[in-house]
Order: sequence, then structure tokens, then C-alpha cells
Amino acid sequence: MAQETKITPGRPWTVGGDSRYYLPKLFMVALGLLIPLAAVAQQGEEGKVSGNYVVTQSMEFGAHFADANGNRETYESMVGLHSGPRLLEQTLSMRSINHTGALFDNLWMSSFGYGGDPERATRLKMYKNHWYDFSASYRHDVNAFDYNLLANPLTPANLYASNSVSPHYMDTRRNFGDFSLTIAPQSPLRLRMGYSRNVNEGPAATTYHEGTEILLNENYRNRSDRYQVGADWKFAHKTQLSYDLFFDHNKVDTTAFDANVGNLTASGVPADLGIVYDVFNGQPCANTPAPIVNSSGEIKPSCNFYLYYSRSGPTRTDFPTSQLSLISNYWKKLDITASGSYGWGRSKMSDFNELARAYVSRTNETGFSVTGPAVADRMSASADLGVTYHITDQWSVSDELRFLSWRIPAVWNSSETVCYANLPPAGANPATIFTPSGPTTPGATACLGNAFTGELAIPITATPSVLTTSSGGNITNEDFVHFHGQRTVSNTTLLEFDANRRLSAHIGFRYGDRKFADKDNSSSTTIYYPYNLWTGSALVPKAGKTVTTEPAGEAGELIIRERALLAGVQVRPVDAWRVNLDLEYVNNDNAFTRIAPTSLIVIRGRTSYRLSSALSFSGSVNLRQGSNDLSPAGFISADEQTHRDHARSYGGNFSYTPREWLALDTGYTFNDIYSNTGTCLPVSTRPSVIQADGGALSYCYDPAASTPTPVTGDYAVVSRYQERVNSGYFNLMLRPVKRVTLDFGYDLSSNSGSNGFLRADTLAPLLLQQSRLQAGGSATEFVAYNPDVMQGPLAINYHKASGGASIEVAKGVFLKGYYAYYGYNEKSGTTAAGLFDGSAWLGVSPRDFHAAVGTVSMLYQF
Amino acid sequence: MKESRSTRTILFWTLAVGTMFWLGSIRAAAKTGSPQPASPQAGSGEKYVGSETCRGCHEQQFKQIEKTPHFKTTFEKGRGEPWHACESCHGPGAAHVEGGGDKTKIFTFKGVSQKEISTRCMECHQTNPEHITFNRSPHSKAGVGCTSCHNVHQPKEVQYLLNEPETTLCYSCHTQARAEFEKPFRHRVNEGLINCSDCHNVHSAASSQLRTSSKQDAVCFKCHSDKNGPFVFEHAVVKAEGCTACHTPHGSTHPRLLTRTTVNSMCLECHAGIPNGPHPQNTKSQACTMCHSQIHGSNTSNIFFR
Repeated sequence: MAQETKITPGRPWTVGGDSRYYLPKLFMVALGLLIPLAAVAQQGEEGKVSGNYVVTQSMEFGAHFADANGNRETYESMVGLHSGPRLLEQTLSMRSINHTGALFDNLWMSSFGYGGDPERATRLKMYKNHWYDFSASYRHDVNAFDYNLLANPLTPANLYASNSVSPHYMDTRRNFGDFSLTIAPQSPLRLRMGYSRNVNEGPAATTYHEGTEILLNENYRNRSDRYQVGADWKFAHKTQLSYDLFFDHNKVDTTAFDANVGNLTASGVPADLGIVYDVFNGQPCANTPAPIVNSSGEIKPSCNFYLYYSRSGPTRTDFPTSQLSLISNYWKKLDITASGSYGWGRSKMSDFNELARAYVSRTNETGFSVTGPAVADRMSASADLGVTYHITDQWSVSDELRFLSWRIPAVWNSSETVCYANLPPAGANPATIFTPSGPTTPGATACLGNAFTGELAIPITATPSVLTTSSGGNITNEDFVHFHGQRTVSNTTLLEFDANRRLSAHIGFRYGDRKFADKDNSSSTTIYYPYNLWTGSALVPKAGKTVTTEPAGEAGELIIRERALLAGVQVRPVDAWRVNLDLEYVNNDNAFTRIAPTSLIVIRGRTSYRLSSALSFSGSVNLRQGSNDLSPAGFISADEQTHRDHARSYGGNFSYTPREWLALDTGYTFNDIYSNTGTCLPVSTRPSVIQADGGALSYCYDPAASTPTPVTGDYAVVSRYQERVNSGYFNLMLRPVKRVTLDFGYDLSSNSGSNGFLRADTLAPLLLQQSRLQAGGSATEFVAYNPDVMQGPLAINYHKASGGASIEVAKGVFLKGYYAYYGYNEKSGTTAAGLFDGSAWLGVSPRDFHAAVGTVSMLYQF
Repeated sequence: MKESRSTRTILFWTLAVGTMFWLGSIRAAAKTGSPQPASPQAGSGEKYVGSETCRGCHEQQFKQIEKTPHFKTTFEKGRGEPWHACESCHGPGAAHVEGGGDKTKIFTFKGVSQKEISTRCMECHQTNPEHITFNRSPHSKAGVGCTSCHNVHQPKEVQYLLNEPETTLCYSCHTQARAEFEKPFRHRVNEGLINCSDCHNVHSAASSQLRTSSKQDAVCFKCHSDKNGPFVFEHAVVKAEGCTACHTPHGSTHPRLLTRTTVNSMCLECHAGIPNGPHPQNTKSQACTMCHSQIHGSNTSNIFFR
């Protein structure tokens, strides 16, 4: 669980340990290290000879001092540096003097971040000529994410759920291990082996919806292991055959449970009302204006709430893959590469278990349990064949054929048991809901008695259950069969021309098709057990056991044919100046999503100019423009139904290093992102929309109807997104005297833009007058379409300013100081009413922070 | 049963003897080298002088090479002179020496196209699994050759002979990527946790030069394996269009590296096109993922609730 300490704006908080306690100790330790290591450091940068090796090492020990103001969760998500001692850097290089070391000829090792930094790693590489190459790495990452997206202006202040954390926060630790060994790397037959491990575990949160949205604590645990064995065989002149076998094993053991039961039922039982509050829509309490708890914290009648919820579903996946590759330059004019792979894997969840004791007013449920196994397979095959024929030294033609196919057939056999209350929802009272309850099996004494333990069992009486029109049966067994599959084939032909070192170009054509299939089928058996079944106030004519079977299914298939023109040119007017330009024009006859382009133009340009060894410029332009003119269904006007988007970026860099004592590096990038999509927007009848600003809105039309038929309640609008991002950096290094190095830097990311819906007719922001009360507002004001949406950042400044000094106090001994200032600020937006920019959102704790992290260290090179 | 045992015995001894021969050949190669296919310059008819001769004039370059992995070619005497040290890259040096150091008589890597340079390097390096498709790669087509990034004599990063540390090197051309990794939500590349080459194989011909997972799926799943499935209920776009349909992997100003500032805005661009499709948005829907929390895929909910 992330720390829920509420930060008082303006009051500094120390991240990590208190420097008053560890600083003196750290200083003493550092001083103690300085004396002997300074002597060792006299060996100099070339290292010292030890046996048959030249050994070069460096160690940098130090400490961070971190203080910050503002939102701690945001700081942890973006920076996460804490106070405390650190091993900031370590390097080791061992080189055999005669290049024939006993165990290895060369070895490199480097580490950083140990002692508490959010990122830390050790990397090792070593080899012995002819015998082996070995590399290994260990990496640790604090995967902290707690950017608050929970605040809601409708949330009453006296409810338990905290507004200071994200409902989907993560505070996990990720550990990576990667190992790779090649035996006989220069031999005609070489063997490769590898192993990777990735463990991600720790506390996290998620949400679950049934009746209300409850915040669940997760014990997140995911582990994957990958093994690899492979061999390369050079069996002919410039020809090699490779075979690899991969085996992936993945374990997911994440569990979730509700631990936010801070409110009370009328009988005094702790309960969770959930985290989404919209009382006009029955969440968590139907037709009950706020506050929804009384002064004692007791929940008012007809509320949805949870007393208990838990979920687990251990999943294991085994996935072996074989891959065969060939490369041949046997013929002088012909290059051939080919590879193919096939994998078949299975993901198995044999024991899913979901238990809840809750009240859901829509169905009158008082508890439910879902169990059952699930199995999903994946078969994937891929092939890549590339042939290049060199017609002359300048002209060549190449062809590239790619194939990728995967299929996922899967089955989920669910078994659901539900308990119901014995009073209709209108009269239900939290005090009595759980006292009597309808049985799920004749003669049973408790609903879910076998599944629940102890106090969680729901006792029953002979009083009949009451079901609503939305209620299901007492026991539902359902089998889902699902199939996903995709097959992609594409072929690219290019004609390439290499005039000389000043000019080269290529032009070509790509065509292909992609077929996607999505099929599902399900059948269910529903059993009703009560002796006298009630729906509302009416007695259901069927008494006793009833079984229904409902087979259902649907199939979808999509084929997309792609045609693309490709071109590129590389020009080098002078040796120092290079210009690259690439163009890609793509046309698809269909699209997978409404925003996937049917027409796409991509232009990439890059240039670099190295005026001298000291001065260089570089620049880049990336333009991507897409459109999708396929009808999204429901629009009469062609203008409304289209999708247009673009992403443009322009960047430049300037680097100047005239002397050893001066280096300047600066750059700037501008991003322009735009999207405009015709959208059919459903509007709820509750709260009812009184009117829209600017007059009545048009409805979408039913695409299935033979004549244009408006669909009441679905507005034809335009979804528009605009964002501009400015990013820049500046680094300056000065060495005023030989032993002193100064560094200064500044990084900035700043964005602005807007996000929201526009009227399709006038393109004015969509504002609705709704019969609802907004916190701080009135029932008759015009408000944005979805005022509850928690806005992310679309008007921010994120910057880092830094400065550092390094002084060489003895040969190979450096004293270093570094200061970094981090600032995250959500600016005041200037967006039109009805559109959002993420600024100044009602009910949100400020997500800004300002932090200063100082680092002092000693670096020894020996 | 007996047959099975004898088959296993034969297999075992075949493998054992084969392995011994193979290891023996490695040892022999380590001492004397082993016969190899014709070298780049074989058959040119020109004479080789050996690296000691080169050293006579190019002492500094010799010392620099000595600190790098390429120095191992000095021991390739058994493979023939074309594979030996300086001349394995620069070609036979006799004419160069006889010409008093005439640079036109040797391959200097200057004044030639990157394609020529790459062709020369690939004579030895193309069979490395990382390099197999380099000739078809976007870098190669853009005139980015081996020495655009690698420095054989004076590398700043010795392990892979790079001109600069990897991230700095990539940023020098990909200025946009540098800007993306400075954003508040980002993969930790600048912090040193991840390298560009963890996700990209800069020598490959793959789209965006991206690696794939060993399951022939998106490289993202190597770390984010819990999103990989396979699931009973796949969010089809994840597998069909890829992670970048919703995420900007380098960095973003939006939480979760999303392409849009709010979850709903992103979801509705695809899901609001059909009448009666999504839920009314003017009610409680703070974020689609509040209910559809398992949006990457689920084994137990076809609407991704759990």
C-alpha cells in the first residue's frame, strides 16, 4: 500500500531517512574510506597490474538528501529518490595482458543505485577467446505509480474511501535477471544458452464493479522465466543455419480483497460503499441524496455495499517456441535470409475463486460466489524471407515476405452461486438484509455456507427470497468458448540505388492482407431453488427447481488489404552534412478500429551537420497524418463520420565542444497531436438532459434501418483532442581549472491542449443542462458532458534543473556534489467551457510537487 | 524395452563423442585456429604483411586495438592471413607498405560509403544472430552504417565499441526520443534501468526495428508478461493492433503512458461509433477502467471486470 500520508501543501517533507541521524555517520565512513583509497588511487586511470590482468576500477559512494513539497504520491511516481547513503556507481574492468587469461580474457562489470534508489542494476560481460562469451545483468525497479485519478466532486467528505490515492496504484518491485552464454563463439558450430527471470510483486490496487465500485487491495505477484537453447552451424561458405528453442513459463498469483470496509450498516457491521458516488444513478444508494451515511457513519437504506470480497485465480502459462534461421551470402550477387518459428502454448487457470458478501440493490443479491477453470491456448507461426539481388554495384532489388499467424482458442467454465434478500429492494434495510435469506439448495442452512467460512456464512430461514427483474438464478453454470485469430501476410519489394557516398535512394511497394477472426459461443444452465420465488411483489408461477439452457454465440471476421508506397533518399552534399528523407503512403481498404487509418502518410526527415569536431547540429521532422473515412455507422453527414488525426514533431539539437574545458549541448522538440472523430454519444435519461447549449442536438441514425431512423438518446457529436508539447534540454560542462568540473543542466516538458466533445453541427463545445446537482454548482447550469471524469494532465510543466561540481582532490579521487530540482505543476488552463485541460479540477488534491535532491559523493578510480 | 534402452545408449554415446570432438576442435582453434571459408580479401592476389609490420608505424592504433575485443583477431593465424588483425579489416598491406604508407593502397574506411563499410564489417559479423537482417534494415537504407555508431579504434564504450554510451548515441539522431524520455511518465531509460537495445534491435529489418518476445509477440510482453495471456477473453486490439494503439511507450505527459489525457477519451474514440454502444457518459463513468479494470484481457469476464 502506498503511503497515505496527506501532505500539507507548503510544508516540506523528507523523503526517506532523516539526514540528522545518518549524515554524521556517513561522513565518518567516507572519511575513513578516503584515506586508504586515496593511496590505492595512485595507481592511476590505466589501472594496476594484478597477475595476468590489468585491473581498472571505480567506486562512487555518496548520499542523497531529498526534500519536497506537495503531493508525495506524484513525486514517488515520477522521481522516487529518497534520502540515504548510496553506492552511486561501480565499474570494474579486467583485461588479460597476454590476452589468454585463465578463466576469461576480458571482463567488465558495472553497477549503480544500490542502497535505495528506485532503479539499480548490475551488468556483467566477460569472454574468453574461442571458448565463450557470457553476459549477465540484474536489474531492480521500484514500480511506483500513484498519480491520483480518484477525486470526485460528488464524493461526500465523510466517507471512508480516501481521495489521496489512485484506484489503480502500484507499489511493486520488479527484479530482472538476464543471462546469456555463447560457447565457441568463433567456431563453425556454436552453442547459445540463455535464461531470463522477471518477478514483479508488491501491493497494488484495482477496482471491481457490481452494484457499486469497490476499491480492492491487490497482492500483486507475477513471475516469468524464459529459457533458451540454440545453435549456429556454418555449414557452407558464408552460410549459416541457426536453431533456437525457447521455453517460457509464467506464473500469475495476484490476489485481490476488499479492505476498505470503513462505513457501518445499521446493525453496526463494517461495510464498503465503494469509491464512485453518483446518488442520482443509484450509486452507491438509489434515489438517496447525499449524505448517504448518517452522523454515526451508518449507511442509509437501499445502498449498495460490500461486507467482504476476495478473488484469486492462480494462472500458469507454458509456452515453447522453436525457431529456424538461415543466412546465406554464398553467391556474390545474392543475399538470402530466412527464418521461421512455431510456438504452441497453454495458459491454465484451474482454480478461480471469487467470493462476495454484499448487497446489490439492482438484483437484491446478498452474496455471490464464482468458481471454475479456464484454459487458453495460443498457436503462433511466423516466417520472414528476404532476398536481395545486387544487379550491379549501384543497383539492387530486394524482396521481403513476412507471415505471422496466431490463434487463441479458449474455454471458461464458470459456476456462479447467488444469495438473495428476503425483502424487496424498496423495503430492504441494511439492518435486516443479512438476517434471513433464501436458500440456494433445498434444506441448506446457509447460503454459500460451503464456500464461506465462519462469520462470513449467510444464515437462512424459510422466508422466501425476493428477486428483481434483473436478478439471475441461484446457480448458473456457463461455458464460454472463445476464439481469436489473426493472419498477416505482406510482401515488400524495393529497388535500391547507391550512386556513390553522396547519394542513395530506394523506392518500393508493399502489399499485404490481414485477416482477423473473433468468434464466441456460450451456453448456460440456470437453476432456481426457492420454494416460493418472488419477483418484486409478484409470486413466480414456477415453484421449485427450474433449469434453463441458453446457447448463444456470434462470429466476426475482418479482412484488411494494405497497399503502400515506400520511398527514401539519403544525400550527403558534403562529408559533414547528411540529409535523410523517407516517405510512406499507405492505403487500407478496411480498418480494425475507427481510429486506425485507412489512409496514412508518414514523412520522416533527419539531418545532421558536423561543422567541425567541436560543432554539430542535427534536426528531425516526423509527420504522420491519418484518416479513416469508413462510416462509423449512424451519421448522415460525411463530415461528421470521418476520423482525422495527425502527430507532428520537429526537433533540433546543437552541440559545441570547442575545448576540453567547455561543452555545450542543447536541444528542443515540439510535438503537435490532433485527433477529430465523429462519435455517437449515448446520453442517460437520468439525470435527464433539459437542453443543450446552442439548441437541440441531432441524433445518430440507426445503421441497420433501411431508412434513416434517428436513435433517441444518441447524440451525433465530435470527439476532439489537441495537445502541444514543448520539450527542451540544456547541458553545460565547464572545467575552469584542471581538477574542477562543473555541470549545469535543465530539462523541460510542457504541454497544453484540450479534450472533449463538440456539437457536430457548430463544432462548439458540448454543454448540457442536466437535472443534477454539482458540488459548488446549481441544478440549472450548463455543464460539460461528463463532469465526473477525472482529468489527467493536459496543462503541465515538468522540469528539472541541476548543477554539479566535481573536484579531483588526488589522482583518481574526486569529491562530487550534485543538486537537482524537480518541479511538477498543473497549470491553470484557458480552455473553453465544456472542454478539459486537466487543470484546477474540483475535488482533486493538488497533484503538484516541488522537490530538491542533493547528492554528495566520493569517486575513486583505481 | 530393450530396444529403447539400446537406442538411448547409442544416442548418449553419439552425443558424448560428438561433444568431445566439438570441444576438442574449439581447443585446437584456440591454439592454432581452424580452417574457414575464404576471407574477405582472399583471392585478391595481394600480399599480407602481418600486424607487427603495421605496428611499426601505427603503434598508437595498435595499442588502442589491444584494449578492444577485436584484438582477438591477432590470434587467428591458423585461419590464414586474411583473418589476421589489422589486415582483416584494412585488407592486405604489402602494397601500402611498399608505397611508403600510400593510403590509396589500403582500405582506410574514409571516403567510402557507409554501405561499403558495412559490407566489409559484415563479412565477419553478419552471422551474429543480431545482425542477420542488417542489410535490409531501416538503418542500412538510411545510410547508417557500422561506423556511424561504432568506433573500432577509440570507442568510448569498449564492450560494444560504441562511439558514445548507447543512450547518448541513439539520442544524437533520435532527438524526438530524447524528448519523450524526459516526460513525467516514462520508461526509465535516462535513469539507466533500460537501454534502447532492450526493445530495439538496431541491426534488424523488423518494423521500427523492434524485437519480438520469444513467443513471437510484442517485445513489451517480455517485461509486462501478465498482460500477454493468452486470455480466454482478449481485448482484441491489444493483440491485433499492439500496445501502441493506446500507449506511447517512450514517454508521455499522461499517466500510464496513454495516448490521451483521460482513459474515457481514448476508449470512446473507438467505442462510441455505434449507436447504443458505450454507457452514457454523463453519469457516473469516471473512467472506463474503473469497471473494466482488466482491460488487457481476462480469463473470467468477457467485459473485463475481473
